[in-house]
Amino acid sequence: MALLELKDITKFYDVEKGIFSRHSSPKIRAVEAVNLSLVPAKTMGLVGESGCGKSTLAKLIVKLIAPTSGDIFFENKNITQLREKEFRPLRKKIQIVFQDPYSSLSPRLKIENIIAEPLKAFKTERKKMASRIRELMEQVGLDEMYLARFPHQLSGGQRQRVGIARALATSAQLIVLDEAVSSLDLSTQAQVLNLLINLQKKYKLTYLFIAHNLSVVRFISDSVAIMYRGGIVERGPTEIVYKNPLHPYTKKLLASQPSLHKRNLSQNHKRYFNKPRTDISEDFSGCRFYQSCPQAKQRCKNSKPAFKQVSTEHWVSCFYID
Amino acid sequence: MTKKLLDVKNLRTCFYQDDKVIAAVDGVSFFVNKNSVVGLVGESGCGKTMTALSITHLLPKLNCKITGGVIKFKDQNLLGLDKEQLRSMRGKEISYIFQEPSTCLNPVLTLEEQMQEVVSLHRQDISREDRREFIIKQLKDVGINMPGDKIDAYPHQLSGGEKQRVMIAMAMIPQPKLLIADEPTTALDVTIQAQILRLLQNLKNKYGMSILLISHDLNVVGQVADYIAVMYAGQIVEFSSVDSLIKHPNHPYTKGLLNCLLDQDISSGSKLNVIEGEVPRADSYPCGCRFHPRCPSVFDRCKKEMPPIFCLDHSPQEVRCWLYSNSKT
Repeated sequence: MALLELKDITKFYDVEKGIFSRHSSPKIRAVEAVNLSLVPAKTMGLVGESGCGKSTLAKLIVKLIAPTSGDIFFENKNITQLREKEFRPLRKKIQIVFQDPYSSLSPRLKIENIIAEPLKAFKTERKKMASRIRELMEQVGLDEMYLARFPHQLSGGQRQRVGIARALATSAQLIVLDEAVSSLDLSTQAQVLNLLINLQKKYKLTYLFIAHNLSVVRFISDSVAIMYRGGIVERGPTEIVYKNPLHPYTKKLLASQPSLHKRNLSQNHKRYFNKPRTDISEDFSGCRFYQSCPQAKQRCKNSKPAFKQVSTEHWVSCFYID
Repeated sequence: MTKKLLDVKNLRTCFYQDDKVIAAVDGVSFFVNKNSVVGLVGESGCGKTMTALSITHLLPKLNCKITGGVIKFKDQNLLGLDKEQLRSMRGKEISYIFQEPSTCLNPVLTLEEQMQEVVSLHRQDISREDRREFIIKQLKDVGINMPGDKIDAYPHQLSGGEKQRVMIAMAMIPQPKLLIADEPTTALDVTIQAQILRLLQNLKNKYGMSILLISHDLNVVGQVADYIAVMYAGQIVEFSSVDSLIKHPNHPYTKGLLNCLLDQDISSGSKLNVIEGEVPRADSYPCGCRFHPRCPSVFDRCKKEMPPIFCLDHSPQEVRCWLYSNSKT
């Protein structure tokens, strides 16, 4: 049973138009017809280039924005149309850790108050609050002495730990990690990743791990979804997708991955880089990867490929799977 | 003439903050050979950018000063030059690509206008009439599509990758001998990153220049560099060719870094190796070896004395660590 399920989730943004504009404004198709399901106590990785709609999807899941169409199910309950008041008890269970630990913590609050905020919001008894905060600090591996400090006195890694503690505060079940380790240095990144894995084991947490770094995603995820320009082009168990990528975009991504041990940029990905990319017009009805795809044919321009199942859990959206 | 294009010896650059003197770069030595790429790797705040800015004398004037060392470029000490000489050197011989392409381009000038400035300063051999043509050629050289149209575009009309390409095109105008690229791909997507790295490599081969590539990502540097200098807390702790660095990392910090590098082969579920602790801040470096509080093979001497640079047998491999104290300094 899935903890969270997205069915045909779509989000269009209106482009702001001037007061005197008479034309109907075009829409930006940030997320289009996305289907995903998150298995409890597992991690799903979501990979894609900047601007492909990863963060929009994250915001849709935690209901910071409302979808244009489609449904979101949490524990088999449709939460799409819930009003804020009805959704509140569920908000406890769905939390998010943001990308930038510098801007996502209020600079004017002490760490203690930052972690206390979600607890206050859900009316935790004052007596229990102090001990809960200390417990959370211990869980994320921060010394108690940091409670009285301000965010600017902490390093990037420590700040991200505070962000994680804040997400854990309400005993969340699902945590959306939006580029949670991207801004950290290598040695600190490893520490935070280990922390996330330990917490998952201990509290049976479900993660949606959004990142652009392929090797980090491979390390932490059980399954992975590859996103391109608002849509998911391939998804499946991590090892299967990484060892046997089927969609041309997944292949391109994996070929571009730098590695110390694989020197002199592989010739293999040369073929993906010949085509220039221009903006897709709103009424474009073909495959979203059409313009950059080395094997695109007329058919790809005219119709959208359906999501095809290639093996038990491996899905690809491409006409030509070799 | 030696093979060395740039030779930095014992460079020391200090910040003056309140009453404190903070050595952001402390005893840094490395060299860049002709037509080769040297990668300078380290975590944020370790002094990578300060080292690069010291080489080009672009340090913030107010509170920053080079207090010691030698920077030899083509056998000439850059620290002894006066303002005018430096100016002709900078840009013409040594070009610099800054970290964020979006903040480095002037938002109110078209590409042509900003590139004209560089051409008029450094390429007097190109007549006024030929300049536009020349700029288009430069843009084409770095792989910009439709350079004839893009030349009239403003920076906000370009994508991140294109902006970075324009920055590279600008840096290439004077045909520099040395290109300093400070985190040239950090703000870019992986696929674009691969393209930019290829571009840098191609330009290097085409024009026979050298590149000092600064990055926090060992994987990125490993793609293009011939030598790697690993920096920690204001010092270079290990300097060696890429191959020997991968095969025989010597400094415990290098070993730690290589260990927590997420390589493609790592499978999910296993525990990651970490370097315990935090990177020290520049105003509170520990005494003795600066890595000793986090070092797994620390012993007494590390806590008291700062290790000098030891040269190892499979040279050129230099390590700043007491473990190698029976090698020559």
